[in-house]
Order: sequence, then structure tokens, then C-alpha cells
Amino acid sequence: MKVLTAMLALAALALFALSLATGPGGAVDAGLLRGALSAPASPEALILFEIRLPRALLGLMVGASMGLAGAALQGLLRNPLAEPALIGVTASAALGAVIAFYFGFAAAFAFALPAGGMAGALIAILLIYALAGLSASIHTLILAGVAVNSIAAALTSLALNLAPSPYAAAEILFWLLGSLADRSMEHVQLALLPVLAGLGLLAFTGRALDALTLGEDVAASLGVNLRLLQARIVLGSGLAVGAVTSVVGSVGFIGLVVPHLLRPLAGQRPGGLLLPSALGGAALALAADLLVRLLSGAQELRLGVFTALLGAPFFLWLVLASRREAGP
Amino acid sequence: MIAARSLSLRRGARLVVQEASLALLAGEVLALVGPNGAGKSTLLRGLAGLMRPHAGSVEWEGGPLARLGARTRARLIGYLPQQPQSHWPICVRDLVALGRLPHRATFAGESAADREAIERALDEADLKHLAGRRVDGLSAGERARAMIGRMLASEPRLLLADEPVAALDPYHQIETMEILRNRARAGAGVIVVLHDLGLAARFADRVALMREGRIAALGPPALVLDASAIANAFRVEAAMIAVEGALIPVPWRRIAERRS
Repeated sequence: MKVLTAMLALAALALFALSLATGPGGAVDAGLLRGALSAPASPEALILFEIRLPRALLGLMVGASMGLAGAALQGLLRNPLAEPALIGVTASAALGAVIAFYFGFAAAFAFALPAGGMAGALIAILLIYALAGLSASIHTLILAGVAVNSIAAALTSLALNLAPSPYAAAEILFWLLGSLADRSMEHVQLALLPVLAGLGLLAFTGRALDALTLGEDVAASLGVNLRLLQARIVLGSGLAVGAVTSVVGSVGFIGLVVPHLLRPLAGQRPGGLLLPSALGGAALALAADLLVRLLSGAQELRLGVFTALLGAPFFLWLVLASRREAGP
Repeated sequence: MIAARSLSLRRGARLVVQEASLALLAGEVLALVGPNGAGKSTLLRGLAGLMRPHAGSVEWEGGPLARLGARTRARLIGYLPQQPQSHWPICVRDLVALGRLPHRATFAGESAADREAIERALDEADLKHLAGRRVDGLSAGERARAMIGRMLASEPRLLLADEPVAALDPYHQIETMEILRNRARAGAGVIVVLHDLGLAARFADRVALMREGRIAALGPPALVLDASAIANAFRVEAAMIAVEGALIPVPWRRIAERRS
């Protein structure tokens, strides 16, 4: 358990360093690191601190948010197929950004896009509270998530449908694909606070999630306040996932795949899975972003596309594995 | 220790328990019996503090149960639902250890007292040899015992068990009843829902017979579980068999439906 956490932390740290040392073509240049650290005003330092550091930091934040939110939601819903997108925050953040695009705010000031995304995520959280917050029922939460997801997806399609020019539509679509490229430290700063708040809310739900293994009645008899737990996880996932989606676009499957892969290694306990999932998510996001840089030719391969390409076959394998477990 | 005062409980719009009153003493085993749908499980949930009373109240040592904090209540009252399940295939020891959650300080790991209680529970529920096994690989009976172990590990002052012997073979049925009996002898209160009238007659100090949401009779087994009461409540004829000086009811044949 502790070995697993330490190994994942080391992996995330190593990939973070590798991300700093890797250029757009996928070439590792340690010389740049040395140059940047010896001369703070050099072009090397500019590349390191203004281009590569935000990219690596965002990779860390995206992965940790998706991994932790995925693990917490799977524990809350007691379903290995749950993922952060389920509560509709991802789709709503995307919608918020698309609206900022659509009405030209994005052209007017630089951070309209992430600001729009965060507004979308917040509205989604409020909507879910309005729909499901009053009852402690997990079913209502899932239904509310599906509803918010559908509304956000429909409105995003509408924005694409009515886009003023093909160019605008293409730009919206491209942004939706999700990427860590060309983000600045301002993007990091913008997302940092909600991400930390969200991760903080999620990090200490472990015991309650462990108790929930035995069902809602037993968890309540063990002193767990289910309503509070649900509220914490919705708010925590919403803040963290909404914030990262707002600055990098949609990056799927990390929140589904990582907890699922690590669950057997963490002894199946949902509480023991939280920290490893955050670290594992960070490692996976950084690794995927490194591969994206390695594989990109003239056209940038988007991180969101890449994780989906990796994640979909994994999902298929999951289906087959669960079928095998259920017997012929 | 715990008492229901004219307690009424609702499930949806239906009144499932109506004006139930009972009081349990420390060291006592009370069996809740009655036909399906009589409201036994709902009453047990009400006593566990998991439902808000529609009318009446539940009291813990004279004060309202609802006024106890969730954590205090969790330490005092252990609750074992009917057909308990584990949503993740954790190992038996981890499952039993969940019973210690209300005792553990925030952020603290397992204390020596926690570990002792877990070992005791594993031992009492005959789980030692299964401690490292995953619950999804256990038989139904082994899983049921693991769940009992989880409740024992909490070392509650009141144990509420909903059909804890339903999945068990005769050996482990008797063993489970002996575990509950022993906990009562050590000073705990026990309320257990049973369908086996023989076990109720043998192991309970008092029996509460429920019918259509009401407690129809409450008293020593010999008084409550006589042939006519069983015929009225369960619509079966029971043979009364004398074993070691006690009369044990054995349901024998259905009483034909009266048609008017």
C-alpha cells in the first residue's frame, strides 16, 4: 500500500522532470535545463519557465484531478464505470468555453475561455445540487448528472450548428479535443485554486467511502453522513475537474482507467485508492502528453484524442473482463 | 438501554410500523419474530436510528436517540442488515476492520485496541482462517459470518441483527446465536430478527411477535410462542416438541385459507 503510493509518486515526479526536459519534437535536451538554471534571463530559461513548466504543471493537475475525482466517484456510486464526466461538469465546462468563443469574448480578452469554462462548471454543480442535493439518493445524483450532461451536449451542438463561420466551428471543435500545448503560467494560476480546493475536499473522504462499501444503511450506522459525503464529492470533483477542463479542454478516460487499474493493487478498498489514483492519474496524463509530443508531426496530436484512443480499447477490455467474470 | 415509545415508521406513504413500544435491558436477548412484511426490519432500522420516526420516539437510556451524535451512536449501536453486501471485493480482515471506523480518531490508523477488537471478532465469528480471503470468493455462509464479525468488531453496547442466521448451516446458526448470547452475557443488549421460531424459543430471553406493523405480543418465549399465537400470526400449525425441558415450536402444516 505504502510501496504502491511511493512508487506512483516517484513515477509522477520522474515524468514531470522528463516533461520539462522534452521539446515539442519529443527530443530530450538536458542542455536546455542546465542553461536555464544557470542563466535566469536566457532564452532557455524563458522556454523552460514560460512554456514547459506550465505544460508539465497542467499535466500534473489534469491527471491528479481526473484520477482522484474518478476514484471518489466510483467509490460513492459503488460502480467501477463511474468517471468525472458522469456528473456533467466536464460537458458544462466545455459548453461555457464554447459560449465564450461563440460570442467573441475569447477574442476580446485572453482568459474569457477558461473563465467561461469555470462559469459553466459552477452552473453545473449548482444545477446538480438543485436536482439531487436535497435527497441523499445516489440514483437521483446519477439522473441529475445525465440530465446536465445532455443539456450541455445539446447546447454545445447548437453553438456548433449556428457557428458564424466554418472557421469558428473548427476552432470550437479543436478546443474541445483538449490539449496541454501553448498554455501559460496564467492558465496554471487560474486553475490552481479551484483544483487545490477540489482535491482537498476529495482527499479526506476515504473512510466514509470505505464504510460505503457495505451499503448506505451500514455506512450510516457506522456514523457516515451520506448527504455530506455526496455534497463533498460533487463539489470537490466539480471544482477540480471543472477547472482543469476550463483551461485544457476535454481530456477523458483518465478518471475511469486509473482507479480501475490501481484498484487490485490498493486492496480493493475505495479509501485506499484515493491517493494512488491521484498520483497515478498525474503520471498517466504526463506520460500521455509526452507521447503526444513524440508522435506529433506537422499537425499536433491532441491529448484528449490520444487518451480517448487509449481509453476506448481499455473500456472494451473491461466489458470483456466483466463478462468473463460473470461466466459464459 | 434502548426503548421505542409508540413508534410509528413510514416507508414511502405506507405506515409499516404502528405504535410499537418495547424496552430492552442490558444483558438481554430479544427476538423479533413475525411473518414476512410484518415490519420487523423496519422496526430494527428505526431502533438503529436510520429512520426518522413518523410518530413516537426512540430513546437511548432515557434521552432521545436522535440527540446522540452520529459517531457516538455508531459506537453504541451495531447494525447488521438483512442480506448485507460488500460492493467491492475487499478481504475479510479489511471488512471486519470497517467495524472500527467509529472508534478511530480522525487521520489515525488502527490503534492497539482496534487490532485487539478485530482479532477478537475474527476469532468469535470463526473467521481466522479466512482473514486474507476476498469476500467475493467466500460462500454465502462465510460471507454472512464476515458481516457478523464486522458488527462484533465495533464492540457496540447494543447489537441489532436482521436475520443473521438466514444463510448459515445449522452448525453456524447455533454458533451465531451463541455469539450473540455471549455478548449479552457480557452486558450488551441484543435484538435479533429471526424466522426460525425454534432458535427464538431457545436463545431469546423475550420474544416480540409482530403482525401487520404492530407488536402483537411481547414476553418470555414460552408465553409468546404458543401454538395458538403461532397459528394466528403465521397461519401455520406448530408442533410443540419438548427438548431438554423447553418446548420448541416446529412449524408443521399450513392452515387452509378461510374463504368467506
